[in-house]
Amino acid sequence: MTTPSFERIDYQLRYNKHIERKLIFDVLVSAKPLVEFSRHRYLGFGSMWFSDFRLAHRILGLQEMISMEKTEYADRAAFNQPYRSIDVKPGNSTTILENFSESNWASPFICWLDYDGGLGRSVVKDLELVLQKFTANSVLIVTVNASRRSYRPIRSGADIDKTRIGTALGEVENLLGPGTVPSRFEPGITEGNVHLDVSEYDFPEFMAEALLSFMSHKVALSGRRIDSQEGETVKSSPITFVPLFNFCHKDGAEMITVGGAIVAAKDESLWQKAAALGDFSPTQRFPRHQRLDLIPITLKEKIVLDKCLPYGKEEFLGMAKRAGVKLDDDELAKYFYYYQHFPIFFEAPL
Amino acid sequence: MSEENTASDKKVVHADPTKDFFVDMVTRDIELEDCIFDFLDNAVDGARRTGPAPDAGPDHPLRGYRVDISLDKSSFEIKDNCGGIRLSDAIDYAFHFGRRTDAPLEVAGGIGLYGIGMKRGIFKIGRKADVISEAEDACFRVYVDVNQWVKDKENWDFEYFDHIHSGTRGTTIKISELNAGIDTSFSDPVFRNNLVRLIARDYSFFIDMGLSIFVCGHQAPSFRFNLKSDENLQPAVQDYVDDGVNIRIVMGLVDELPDDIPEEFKPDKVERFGWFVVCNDRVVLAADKSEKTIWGDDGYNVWHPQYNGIAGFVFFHAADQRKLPWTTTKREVDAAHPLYRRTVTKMKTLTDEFIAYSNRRKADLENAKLAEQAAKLVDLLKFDKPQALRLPSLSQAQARPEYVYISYRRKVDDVQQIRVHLGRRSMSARDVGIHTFEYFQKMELGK
Repeated sequence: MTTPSFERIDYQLRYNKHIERKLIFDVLVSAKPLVEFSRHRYLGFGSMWFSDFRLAHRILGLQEMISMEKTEYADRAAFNQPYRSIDVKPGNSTTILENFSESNWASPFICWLDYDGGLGRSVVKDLELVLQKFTANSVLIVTVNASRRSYRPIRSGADIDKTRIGTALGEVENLLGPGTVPSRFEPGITEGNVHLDVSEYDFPEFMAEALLSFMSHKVALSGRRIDSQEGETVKSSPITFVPLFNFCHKDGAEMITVGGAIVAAKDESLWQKAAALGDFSPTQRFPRHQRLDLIPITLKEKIVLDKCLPYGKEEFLGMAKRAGVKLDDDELAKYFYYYQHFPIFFEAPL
Repeated sequence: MSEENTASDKKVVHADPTKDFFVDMVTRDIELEDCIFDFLDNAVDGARRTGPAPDAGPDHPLRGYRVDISLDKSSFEIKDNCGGIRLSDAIDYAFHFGRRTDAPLEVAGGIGLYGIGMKRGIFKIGRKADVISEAEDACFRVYVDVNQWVKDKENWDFEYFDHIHSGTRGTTIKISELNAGIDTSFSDPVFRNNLVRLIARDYSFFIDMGLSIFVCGHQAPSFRFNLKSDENLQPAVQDYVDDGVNIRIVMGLVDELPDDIPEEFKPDKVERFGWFVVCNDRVVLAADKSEKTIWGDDGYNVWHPQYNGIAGFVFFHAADQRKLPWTTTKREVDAAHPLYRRTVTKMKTLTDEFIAYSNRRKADLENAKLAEQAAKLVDLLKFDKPQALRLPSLSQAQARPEYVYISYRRKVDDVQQIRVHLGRRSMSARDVGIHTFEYFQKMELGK
């Protein structure tokens, strides 16, 4: 078996993952006036570090938390849990979720299924289950590997080359089901009837959108509705999935993080506005795909760059260069957009 | 009491239709997608009635015509530049329940027929509609408030208003206050993506003629129906006229036949196989593997995965669309229609030859596969003249190889590791077994 990722890297020390985590919790914080989080529980893969669990408790005030961990690592995870209120459940996620009782599903969840690897049948099964079970005002976030080569069948002859299933796009479609491939990523067929594939660069964005389509579809298919009192009339509103998160981050492997809220349709725009942090326009594709592939920078660079902020981007670029920072414009621009969440790591004496 | 009834015994059972019946019941017999297609059919008929633009060219008579569909959780709109609904047609059937018996056919060879589609579509989708039409004889607007209309039990009329000409002849239908369930479908991206796919398939022949159809800004491509053809393998084409209807039957291979049957059959993987029925260029049945066409009909073979790769097409063309064997939803054929029964007989005879071939090829699998693989895919519309079926000639001498089943258990994690290594995360466990067996054969036995 492959080595688990927590044995290879301290999750807290990944720049882009760190930025992504903070952006996601920013959105959840902005939804606080809309949603009473006191009944929510947190569900995820805490691993040995529990980074997202710490934020869920510190920022959102969630107390009841469940971390799923493979049986062989569960004891070590339990030893490392930062709060008493975390319940480390040993086993694989599908089995744990399938064994949840109805009372487990009764309260809403903030759930981040942050998988180590790629999309596979068991991941799809987990997602289907929680999308059908989560009550209104639950939030589901999922992270999977989105490197195109992970989904490209090893070429084994003419048979596979020309068919749709022979492409990474076809492989993802096969897992998520027909109709999940967004029309704008349909690559078409060449004259020789050979199916084309999504480009390597676009693949994470394609996969993120396909996964969001899948999530919306599964909630729509469940046909659930909520009644609400409006004056003297009772209005029925379908429960829908509102996509809120669409990230790709790269700290080595290319990973995507997508997610959204399961809400009454009437509350959809409120959630979107909360997620857009004041930048919501119903005419734009939402949520916009954000690529987080910032390179590490030194403490000295950070201090100089921060002094050039927070005004306009062009002004920032000019000032940064004049201050002698030797980073490409692309990297400077990325820093401009995400500096508020950019971490600097130190060795600390204990 | 006498056994003979007299006039004075007569009582009346009222059979008046109710509006509720049309609004709540008739709408249950049709899928949401097919309601949208009823609007599209009206647009296609409008374009055909208006005729080709001067620069359209003979192969693309519908070039320049465009339909835009947009939908979301709160509204639906379909807008076209296809000539509009003439006021006379609006009175005769578009807003009349059922076509008036004295109404002339709107367009020869058209696909609108029964005087039900547009109203049924509106009722199915929502409670308020706003229809604006600009045609050669008038420009008018009709507001439909379904709830108000249903309340008035006596008056079945819809009021129309003269509308200002914009200069573009076409129709716009906006529907709001969506019904429960419709709002959910319209906000589901998978519904929208599937709608594009269905339009690409069922309107493929119109798209090939130049019609542009957009769903939420995405253009539906043509499905590109093909069949394999070369000197060793060519589809059968039969062309004849029956009761004033031109019929063409084309049957061939669209893919190599399988020599091993996979354990999973997802619908999109077999959507090119089976029988297709096309009425006046509109696909009515697609990739049918049921008794709606021939499979299991009156004791005939049911479809078997061994036939995956075979595709047959029946084209019915008639100037008077009432002669075509379709139902009001245009998603089914009228199986009892005499014309259709006669066609089914021919379809079965042709299919027999393919079934026999699919069995025969097992004796000489290698040559059969080589011949099937070698044949190139050719656009279906190129097969426009009668021709005899040609199938690969196979050696009969070889003995059929014997097979044995292998089954064993392995840990899920171990199987998953192989899937990941192969980059085929969706692979079935069975296919993992076959792949690893074949790998051993290749590496250890050199096969």
